[in-house]
Amino acid sequence: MKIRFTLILTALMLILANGMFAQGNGIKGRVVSREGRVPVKGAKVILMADHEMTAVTAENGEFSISDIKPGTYNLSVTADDFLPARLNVRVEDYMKDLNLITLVADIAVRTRDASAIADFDTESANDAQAIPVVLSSSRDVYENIAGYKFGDIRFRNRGYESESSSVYLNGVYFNDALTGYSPWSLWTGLNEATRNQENSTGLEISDYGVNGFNGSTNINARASQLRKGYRFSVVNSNRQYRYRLMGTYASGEKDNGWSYALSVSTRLGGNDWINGIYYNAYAWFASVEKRITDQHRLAFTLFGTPTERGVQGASTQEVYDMVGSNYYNPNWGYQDGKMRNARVRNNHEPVAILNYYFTPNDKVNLTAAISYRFGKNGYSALDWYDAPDPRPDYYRNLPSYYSDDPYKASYIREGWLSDWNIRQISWDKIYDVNRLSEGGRSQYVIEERHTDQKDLNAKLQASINLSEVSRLNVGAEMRYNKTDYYKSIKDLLGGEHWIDIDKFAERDFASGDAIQNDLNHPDRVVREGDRYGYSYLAHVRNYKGWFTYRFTKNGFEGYLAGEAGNTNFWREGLYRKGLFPDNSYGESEKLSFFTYSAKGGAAYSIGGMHRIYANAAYMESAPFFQESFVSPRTRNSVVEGLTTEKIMSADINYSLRFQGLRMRLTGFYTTIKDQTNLISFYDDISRSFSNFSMTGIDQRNAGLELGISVPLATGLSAEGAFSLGNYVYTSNPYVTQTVDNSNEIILENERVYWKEFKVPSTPQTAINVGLNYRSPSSIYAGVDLSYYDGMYLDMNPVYRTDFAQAGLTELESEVMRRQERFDPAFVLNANIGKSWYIKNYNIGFSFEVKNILNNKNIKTGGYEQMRLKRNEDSNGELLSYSRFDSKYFYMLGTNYYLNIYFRF
Amino acid sequence: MKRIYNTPTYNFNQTKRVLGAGEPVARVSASNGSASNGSASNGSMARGLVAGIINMAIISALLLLPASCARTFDEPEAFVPANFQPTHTIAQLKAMRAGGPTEVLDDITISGKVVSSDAEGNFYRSFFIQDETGGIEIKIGKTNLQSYYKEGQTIYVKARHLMLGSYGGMVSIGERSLEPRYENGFIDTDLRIKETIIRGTAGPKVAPYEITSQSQITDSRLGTLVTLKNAKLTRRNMATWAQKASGNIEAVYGEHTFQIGTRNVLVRTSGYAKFASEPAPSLNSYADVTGILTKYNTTYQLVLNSLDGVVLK
Repeated sequence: MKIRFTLILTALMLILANGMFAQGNGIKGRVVSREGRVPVKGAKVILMADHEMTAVTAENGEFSISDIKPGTYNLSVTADDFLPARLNVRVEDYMKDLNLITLVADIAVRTRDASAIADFDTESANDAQAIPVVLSSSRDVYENIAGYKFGDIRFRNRGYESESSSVYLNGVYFNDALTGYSPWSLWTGLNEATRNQENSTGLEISDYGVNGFNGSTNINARASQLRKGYRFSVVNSNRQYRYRLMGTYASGEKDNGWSYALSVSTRLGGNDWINGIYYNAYAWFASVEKRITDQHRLAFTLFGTPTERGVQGASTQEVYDMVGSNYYNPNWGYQDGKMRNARVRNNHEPVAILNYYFTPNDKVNLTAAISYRFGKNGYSALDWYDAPDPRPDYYRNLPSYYSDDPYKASYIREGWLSDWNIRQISWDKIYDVNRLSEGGRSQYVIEERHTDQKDLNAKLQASINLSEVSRLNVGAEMRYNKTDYYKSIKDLLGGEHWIDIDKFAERDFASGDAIQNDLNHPDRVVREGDRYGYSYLAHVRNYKGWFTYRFTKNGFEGYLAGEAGNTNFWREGLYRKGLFPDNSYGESEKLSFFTYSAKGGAAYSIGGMHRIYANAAYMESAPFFQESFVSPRTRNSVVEGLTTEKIMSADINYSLRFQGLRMRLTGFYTTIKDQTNLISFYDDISRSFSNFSMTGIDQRNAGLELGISVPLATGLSAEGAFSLGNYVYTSNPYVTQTVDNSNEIILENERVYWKEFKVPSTPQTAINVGLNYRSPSSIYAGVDLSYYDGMYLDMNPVYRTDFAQAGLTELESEVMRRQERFDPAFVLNANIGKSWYIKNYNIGFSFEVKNILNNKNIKTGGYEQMRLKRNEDSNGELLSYSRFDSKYFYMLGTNYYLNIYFRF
Repeated sequence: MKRIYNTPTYNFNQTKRVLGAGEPVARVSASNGSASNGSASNGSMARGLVAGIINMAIISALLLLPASCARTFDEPEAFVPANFQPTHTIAQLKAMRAGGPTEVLDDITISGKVVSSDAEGNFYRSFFIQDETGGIEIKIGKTNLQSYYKEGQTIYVKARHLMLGSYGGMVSIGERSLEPRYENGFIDTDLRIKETIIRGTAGPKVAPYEITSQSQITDSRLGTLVTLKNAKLTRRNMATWAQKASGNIEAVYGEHTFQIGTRNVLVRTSGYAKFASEPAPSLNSYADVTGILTKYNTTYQLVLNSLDGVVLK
């Protein structure tokens, strides 16, 4: 190990020494702008040695100065339109690479500068995983491409949130009861078991319900629905996990009417791009089904996906530039020679479903289903009390905090570049502090935040063929959900215990009732596994009845559908919080919302080739539990003005099938009004969780969607998916800010001026074109190119309020309000595979490489920080606010996925 | 459970500058000649791929592993306190301040025991150490110092290139100051602190020096922990120890004058102290008051660590 290090170091020094510029020693670097990292040409670099030594940067921003006597000197960098930068540099006896030197623009900053589905840690307290839609393997020509190709950019189909798409499992509606999110994490790793899917697009209804406005997927994961036989696969990859092993067996329906299926898989390892991410995930699935008679059928399915995985965090561009990588992950540190990640997801949420089918005659079909989801879902994080902030990229640990002291700024940089314990979490220091702490009281712990659900669904459905040309489905559904929200001590990190008090309140109140998290058990001593901090239950009840009626007449197909129901929910606090003694323990007010939807559509087919169809819908849906309480961890207070969302949506479509050519063109228009949202994040200035509750969010999503597949020659076809959207906010909503450690209301119903701003976090233009080849000998090959544009950064509502604009000039105000747009991006992918059929055996492989161009500068998301920087005068009086740097996630560079499978 | 994925092993005590650009990770399977970017380049990707395929064959046998295999980490090694031989006493170091801010140019090491604590919020961003010759303020700049620099712990200061400065007659050690009204500033950065402030053995809290007569109140005792025995509260500017900030009203220092003989010592308490709102003793009462002896121009002052330092008679 040491020898290897010395060799690497020697090699490095040799390489540096043989670099283009230096015969002897010196310094070199690259000057770029802070925004967008654009190289600065013609910048003057002056080193104050015993005489002034100057260099001017080239077109690519690079410069070098050689033959300098070793020592510490001042370096200044000046360029037109930029603020000068000063650094202290230590010149050694080799050509030292200073890497990037960033200059801040002197003029107003321009916004336009030039994971499979990864889960991003966004410092928020909303720990649910919102995985973008379009994951399904659909037969629709557009979704088939978009669903797979656009995943890396975290594309949201038509700009909609995850809750707009309905996901069913064995006919039971499975979107999360508290957030509406697609529940893919429940069966991640069970790809074979969940392969049989039925999809609908946009506003279309399905056989399982009226659905929402962004398509639906029903997964048939019953024993009889899995492909008969054995299927094994082994995967090696370098993007999310390193290895995946999967084995599945399905018996198919036997003569005696029984069928059963089993599947197990594991995903293990890290990746080549981001440190600290790892998978330690397993999945198991079992289903048994019996055709009792030709009329009765019963199926029971049970599965679970126990998963442990480390999560990536975002950081600012300043940090990425400083370490020279857009993949820096602040969530981990070295312990025991290994990378230990503070943010680890740990869940095991099994699902059990019982399905019953009754077909008395060929006109009527009755189904009943009961499902139960239970288990534990935890997400860990560092918690600390009376101790320094352990996060390595805490803003005071960055050079920008010392922007007026270049000496200290360069010491910060040196620290980051020379010491892993400064650059990442220092677990050593954390254990040290805990071990020194009086009485063994930990000052740092790992907490695990839990959302443990018990979710029961029951559904009855009847499908009736009223005539040859009309079919009626009616259904009734009920959902009971009780979720346990709490946090527990996962690791005392070298200490002996923790005391359950509100450390943030203690800072303000020193002692007394106000600092207690639970007045019913004050000053409780807690240890590993104990619950502490907050504890409350969510109770959710949904009831609904629906019908869909399809008919065909005179070449027209049409349908009508309607749904009506009621959603009730309330919070039940299990701790009496000292700050809110009368409003935290016990049940909150019980909220009740009447919800309904109405849909209609018509289609006209011409020959077998052309089809023109249109749909329209109007819906009112209830807000979700997770966004309905102002500060759900601490009190029962309900968001003021809570109301249903109103959605109006319409689309018109044309599809074409002609001699192998397939095409679908869609135009859609949707307005969504009165949305509610709750953003909770850790604010290190008030040192507590701060909550932004927003109401009255309106938006309009309109656009065109085109999917096309054209055969070119035998085996060769061209495909494309085009999504051109315009998704904007159409109202100025309200925001109320509260802080968990205080009964103060920081902002009350402040207007957020973001009308006409773009809906963020998805590319509004997404295009993919590709060529696919399939040979008669079962060789598959393909290459495709994606283009993305119109991606905007997730916004902090407070930047757009009058409160944050106070004291700003016109120009400064514009900078504060401006929405950041990411640069457009091209991504090139390719894949190849071959399948062999030997007697009954099928063996094959598929190999895919993504981002062949190795573009490491494609932002896929991120967020504006939720804090405001106070600019004060010398007396400490507030002059104005300014923004903190935003945080970003980047698309991985070149990565591969190799799958070898064996089936018989 | 044996972990089967590649993780780099790295000696975290490594302080040499070996981290260049990129997110370098010493790959276990592929060793690149250039350490400048250990992330996937096509060469290492091919190598990683071949290694991956070979590993897969081995791993296939491990398909049926038990479901719960959480990662475990051994606890870090115990803290090893430093042990240096100081080259100068604190009094000698303080004496080196020559009329203005003075940069320490030689390789000087002092050592002392921590006598102040910011646990109660009365000290902020600095702490005091003392040896037999006196005490000095170390303007370290970090907060929550009590978690890391314990009262009674021996601290070594490698003073080279640090700045000695005086404020109101009290000499402290810190970094160069950018503000003209302060002779020195805070050290602040982690790397600089690592170079200059080194923790030694922990130990019991230092016993304060008992002051029973005013002749014992001298400049040589500045920066040390003292107890004013039977001091009389002769003046105060408020009924509580200090005034907390609230709303738009700023925090105000509490000033309580205690008298030993005819010498006045001003007990000065910050409005950010946790005990600020506690009631101060009434006028003309007597108490033993323990804290750090400081000075502002001609006035001797005392800064409390906590209210445990006030024992009413």
